[in-house]
Amino acid sequence: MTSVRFIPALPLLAALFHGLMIGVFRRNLSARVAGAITVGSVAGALLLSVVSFAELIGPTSEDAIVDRVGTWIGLGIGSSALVVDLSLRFDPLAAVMCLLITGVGSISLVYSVGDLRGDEREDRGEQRFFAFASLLLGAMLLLVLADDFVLLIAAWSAVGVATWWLLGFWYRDDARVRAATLAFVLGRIGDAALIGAFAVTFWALAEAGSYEAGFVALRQASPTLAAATLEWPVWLGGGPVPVSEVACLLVLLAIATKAGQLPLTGWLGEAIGAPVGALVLVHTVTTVAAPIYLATRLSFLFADAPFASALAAWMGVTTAFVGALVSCAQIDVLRVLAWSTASQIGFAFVAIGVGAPTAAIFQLIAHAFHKGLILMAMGAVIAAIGLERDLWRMGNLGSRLWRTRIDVWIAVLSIAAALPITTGFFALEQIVVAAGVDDTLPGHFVLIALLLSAASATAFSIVRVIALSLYGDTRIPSSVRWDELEDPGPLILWSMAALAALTIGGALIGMPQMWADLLFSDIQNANSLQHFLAPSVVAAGSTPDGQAGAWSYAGLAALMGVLGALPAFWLYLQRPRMLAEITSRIGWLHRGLLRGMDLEPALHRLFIAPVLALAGRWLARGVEERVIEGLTLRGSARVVQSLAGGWLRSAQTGSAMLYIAATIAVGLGLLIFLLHASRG
Amino acid sequence: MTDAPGLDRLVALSLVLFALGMIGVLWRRNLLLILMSLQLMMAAGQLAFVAFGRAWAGVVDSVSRGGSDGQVVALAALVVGAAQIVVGLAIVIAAFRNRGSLDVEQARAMRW
Repeated sequence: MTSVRFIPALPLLAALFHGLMIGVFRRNLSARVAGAITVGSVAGALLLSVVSFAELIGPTSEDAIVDRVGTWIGLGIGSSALVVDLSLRFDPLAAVMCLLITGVGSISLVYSVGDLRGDEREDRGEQRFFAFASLLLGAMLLLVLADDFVLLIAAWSAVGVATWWLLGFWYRDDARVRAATLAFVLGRIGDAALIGAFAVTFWALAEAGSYEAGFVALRQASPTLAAATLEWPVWLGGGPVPVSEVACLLVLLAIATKAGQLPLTGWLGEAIGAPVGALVLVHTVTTVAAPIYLATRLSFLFADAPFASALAAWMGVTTAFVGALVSCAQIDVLRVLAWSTASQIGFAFVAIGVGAPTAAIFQLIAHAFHKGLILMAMGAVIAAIGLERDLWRMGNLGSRLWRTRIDVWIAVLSIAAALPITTGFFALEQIVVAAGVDDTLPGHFVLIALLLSAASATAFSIVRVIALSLYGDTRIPSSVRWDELEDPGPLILWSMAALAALTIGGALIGMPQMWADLLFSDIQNANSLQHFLAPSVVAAGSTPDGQAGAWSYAGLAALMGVLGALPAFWLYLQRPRMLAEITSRIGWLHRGLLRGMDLEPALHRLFIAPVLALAGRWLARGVEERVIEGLTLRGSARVVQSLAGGWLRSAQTGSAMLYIAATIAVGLGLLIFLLHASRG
Repeated sequence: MTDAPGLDRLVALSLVLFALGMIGVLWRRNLLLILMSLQLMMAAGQLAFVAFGRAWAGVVDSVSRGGSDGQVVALAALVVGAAQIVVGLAIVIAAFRNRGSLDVEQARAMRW
């Protein structure tokens, strides 16, 4: 008896409950009650994940716990049948993801209870918030537990919808809805690409004689996938291309839309007008985490696709670099953090590209911890000074909000990757070393240079946040009384403390062996995450530990963090005039970065505007007015009218006898016809 | 049960009953009698169901419960027919109270 199915079911049931309460019974529960239900369901899922995890690492030591709920799709007969079971697989990778999602998820939900309770600013729909949050977490859990492509695609789409609703939570504001909608529309393009990736692998295996949708079967068949080829279209040069490359490229498109990677980034930086709890969920364990999970799950496919892998690494490193630079220039603190998310996820895709999927997962874990923590802490700061998000209207708040300051410091240390005590430090170390020792990548030197610069820019941007908000001279709005500033309530403080503890303690699960040898004496298998995940992933890259040059890359990464962090402090606190000088010197660059390189408007023009134009001009006036309304609706009405007004009317004599006679005559006619037809 | 009637005789009886009912429906002008004739037609149909059900027991694959399918359908039709006649009689009574006559030829208010 496994309880794996209840891990996604509990949050989904909570979402259903909230939906029924709001939609059918028209009862809005308070933040406290609705939040308690959702937190309870996610905490229950966390408990079940822990139990299943204990079972997985227990003495029976199976590869995975499989929970087969039932047959979902059955097509075809005999040996050519496609049977898709509704089946959940709790393997090491899914276990790590489940623990992460439910853990950080429940912490951020507790925060949301505290955050939304005092929220009088907009339409109060606390239960709506918790309905969407439950749906998002449930869909994400379903996504990581899915045993086959079909269920994963369904859950992937559900995550997209829930993200849309959650980011557009304050729906009366057009700008917010616009950003959320862009995220959703881009996500739909990604959904189509993902379906395409599935179709390609499915087709290739069907050619080889088996119908498979499950990940285990796909992994076993990966030699077949690598051997099978498709023809490039002629306008792309023609020639054969391996199926695994095509599938990986399609997966990359899906990933780029969902995780906000270049060139499809931009929406992440705009969609910040949501409750902070929603941002925490979207930016850490759900929407942007799903692509990393997917790439890790399909690491066997990427191992056979050198071109797509290189593309992933380059996509990741450019996003990491550009995202970090853009976040250095932003004024809105949430926008800084949002762009930094795109950048941090970019680092993870570098790891995917160089064949170190466990490093990507570790980066995801670190990101979930420290980005969740700093989002929460900055949310508390914003709430304390009357919802002011402008970094230039903060300053010296650390002396009033001293408990929050501790949390911000821990998060900043982890994101800047400057000291070897945080999860973020070791995650970045692993990625830089893995990318450093893999010199098969095209443009290896440039890639490493960009990667290290991105690390530096990340440190700069995040230290800039703490310097401008918590130190220096205070510039808070005059409407805020300095004496009344205080730390947030206990719910928020405790949830931040939990994430802060994880940010520090998480370092222990994924510490590289060479660092463990340096810091402690005699620890075997220090990188327990890597050993635990080994059965679930295919690491194409070599293990960096102990290789020549590993230490130089590790040292460089740490140095770059410090090199980014210290100038930020110095510039923003000690040398404001020099800062202004620099800003005006690079004015054009600064303005571009401030506008987020105009990526979001460009995406709008590219993907939303054409659809609207098509809908407005051609579809609305041409198709809707002329064809549907004119021809079909009014035309058919006119035909019926002319018939019914005329001779058809006279058939209605009102005489029951005639009606009966006609019925019987028709019945006899039908009988004779059928008898005749059946005789041949 | 050697002297039980065969399928052909039962079907013939059913046909005769159906024809009698149909003639009644066409010939009669009294609403009540039309209703009674309709019931006769339905009874003929149910009889055919039972007869075929018994004759084809074990022949058709789906008839695996000892040939009770026809009887089940007939019973269900019986229940539906009973409900139908209740409504029908209520309409007949209401029509009679309203118009003082049951002649269907005079009730032509629903023409065009």
